[in-house]
Amino acid sequence: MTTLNIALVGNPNCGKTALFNLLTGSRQKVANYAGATVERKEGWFTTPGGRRIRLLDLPGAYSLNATSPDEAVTRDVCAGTYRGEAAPDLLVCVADATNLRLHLRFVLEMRAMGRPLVLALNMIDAARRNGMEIDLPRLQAELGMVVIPTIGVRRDGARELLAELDGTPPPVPAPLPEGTDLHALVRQILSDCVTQSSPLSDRIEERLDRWVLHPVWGPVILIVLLFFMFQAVFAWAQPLMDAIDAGMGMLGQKIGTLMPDGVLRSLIVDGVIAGAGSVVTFLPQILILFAWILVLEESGYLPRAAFLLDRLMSFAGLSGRSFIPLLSSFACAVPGIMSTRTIQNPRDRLVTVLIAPLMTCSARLPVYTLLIGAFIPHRNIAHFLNLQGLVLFGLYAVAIASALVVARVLRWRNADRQEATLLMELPAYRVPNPRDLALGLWERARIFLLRVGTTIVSLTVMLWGLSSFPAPPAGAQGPAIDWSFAGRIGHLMLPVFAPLGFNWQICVALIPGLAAREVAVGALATVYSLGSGTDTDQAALQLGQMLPTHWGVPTALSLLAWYVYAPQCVATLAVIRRETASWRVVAIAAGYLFALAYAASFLTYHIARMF
Amino acid sequence: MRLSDLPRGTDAIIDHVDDHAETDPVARRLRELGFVPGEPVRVVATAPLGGDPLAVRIGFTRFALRRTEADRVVIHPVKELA
Amino acid sequence: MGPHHIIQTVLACAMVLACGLYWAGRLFPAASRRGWSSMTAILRGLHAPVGMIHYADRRSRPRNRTGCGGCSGCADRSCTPGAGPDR
Repeated sequence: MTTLNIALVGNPNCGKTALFNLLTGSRQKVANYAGATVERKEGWFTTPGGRRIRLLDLPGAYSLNATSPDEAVTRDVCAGTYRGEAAPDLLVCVADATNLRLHLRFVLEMRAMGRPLVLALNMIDAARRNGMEIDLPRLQAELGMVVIPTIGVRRDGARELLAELDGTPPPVPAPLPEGTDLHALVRQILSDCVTQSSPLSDRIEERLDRWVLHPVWGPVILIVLLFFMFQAVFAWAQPLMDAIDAGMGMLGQKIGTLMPDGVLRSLIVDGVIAGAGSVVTFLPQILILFAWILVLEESGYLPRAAFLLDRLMSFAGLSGRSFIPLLSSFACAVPGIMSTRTIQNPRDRLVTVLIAPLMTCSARLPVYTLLIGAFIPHRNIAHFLNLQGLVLFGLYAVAIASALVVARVLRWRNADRQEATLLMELPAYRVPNPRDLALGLWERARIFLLRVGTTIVSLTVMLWGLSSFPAPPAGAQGPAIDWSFAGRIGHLMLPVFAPLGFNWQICVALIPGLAAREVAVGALATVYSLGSGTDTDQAALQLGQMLPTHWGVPTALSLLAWYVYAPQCVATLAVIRRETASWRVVAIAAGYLFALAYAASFLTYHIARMF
Repeated sequence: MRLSDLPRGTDAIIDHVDDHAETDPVARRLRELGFVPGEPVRVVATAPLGGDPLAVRIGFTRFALRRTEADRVVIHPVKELA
Repeated sequence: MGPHHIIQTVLACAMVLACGLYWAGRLFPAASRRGWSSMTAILRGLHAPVGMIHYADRRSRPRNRTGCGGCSGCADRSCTPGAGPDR
């Protein structure tokens, strides 16, 4: 039996992704469609009858008249005309049973594809709960295709779909006559097949949206939510972080006693464990932040936030719609920059590319946390506002505000208010599915650990190399590291950075930080642990506790300000180069960011010193 | 009357969708999404700082629309909601 | 300076060098592929295990990359923003 190629299609917000996850579990592969920035999700599973299925989760589309690259890909893949993609053997249309009025139209449109078609009536449990009675056989007859109820969020919710896949292949539905009024047909089908009382869930949206979309309370709720998110990142992560930190410390000491004294021990303990280990400590934080973002995404709140912020974003020349990708991809500026391909106006595109490095980057989080945790007192304002969480929130707020201001300034001479379409669905509120959440977080953790294991470790080992050789001449005073390459480079850089309150160790840490922002944490750990003398028992001393003994608060604040702006990521610059095909733009981006960083850092340091 | 002028909380029925240009992809998408003659519609919320965009409910779906997009939709109000 | 010390220094230098080569490979993929190509030839000449030769051979071919810099956002796979639910 050959593998069956199935494609999942449907409107956005039909629960397709949950169904996809239910069927394929962790056997998924995520990539891009050839030659596009559209995400390609592919998965595999075997039916109870032993049939092997390859499942493609196509981007949600409202219609075959595509208005975006995502929808164009869906249309082309279904038609079998997308270069490099095999035409699907079977199309599974997923529709939200609680909103058939909208979703059925697209299902009818799919009949024109001329391929075997099956309708998966998803969220059937929610529909039944709302008092909806759907006459399935009649619906099947009137739609002209097999209809199968599914519940994407329940463990056995795809049972009937799997049974259907094991059976005989469904027929190709007859295409509708040219020019059929699809909406009228949908209305007729619904009146024939569906009976319901006033939908209960709609009242939930009514009540919630009255506050969430309120012109005053809406923004308040948004700010409180974001606020709480950052508080949680600090408060909840702390015990886990302390545990990992202690674990790394113990590991370092253990290895230190096991290995013979010498260069190799230093490499392992000061280089790998202190360096990469100190970055791993921040995994809980990153996961908590991502958990929040995933919850916000899945709950259906984000489009409403985009609604509230649209005005603010258009001030900067962005559409409220770009808020969602910006927040969701806050992991990294690179996807954000690549997604600017869809922006028509070249000047708008340039502006978005230039401000993208300011808006996003989860690699900043370890640096922020380290410095805030070490230098900002663990105190509560007004009894419940954690000062540390407040500062973290402030850093993100300042970064975003700066991005908006820069965008505004860049469009000074070019104030053409171009008509940017919004036309965005505000989906039904949903309780996030724990399984999907767990899957998403697991993926994130995997990516993070992979990055530490490759990028971070290799950088800290190289830094260790530079910091350990050459050895100091006989009779030299001071720690050995001062005489190494790294030490000398650090001292060379000092005149440039001393006005910002940086010491030479910070200067050295900034260099590998160009390849990965969070490496600065590991680099500092390595540099200080090497500089702390030959007793490697001390090497495992937690960086967060050691730094305040070496630096003053103004230096720490200055470094924070530096990190908000500094273009410390060659990957970002490389993508800018690739997307704009211009070294000039890269120079402008790097230049203005460096200037902003220097100015912010300088001001912060000197103002902080006055207190 | 146009959807962009409909006060919040007032029910209305869609009359038709105007094209703003020869081929207006926005108008076509509006029709595909359900802004068709005879469909009930209501403005659920207006955004802070200027009331643009609008949140409208059509059928069982809610959409956020710019005023320029809502401007294309011609409606006639039904009754006032308390 | 005992033999212990020398072995350690050699090992440590080798590890640092390996990391350096890894980064050189990331920054200059074309040169890295040529390097692996030569390595494949050498391994063949030395009659190394087939598995090793195949690995070196695979590394010497251009990989279809999505073009990420290996940032923490996507780990070299998909580079699309915000794949939220049902997008």
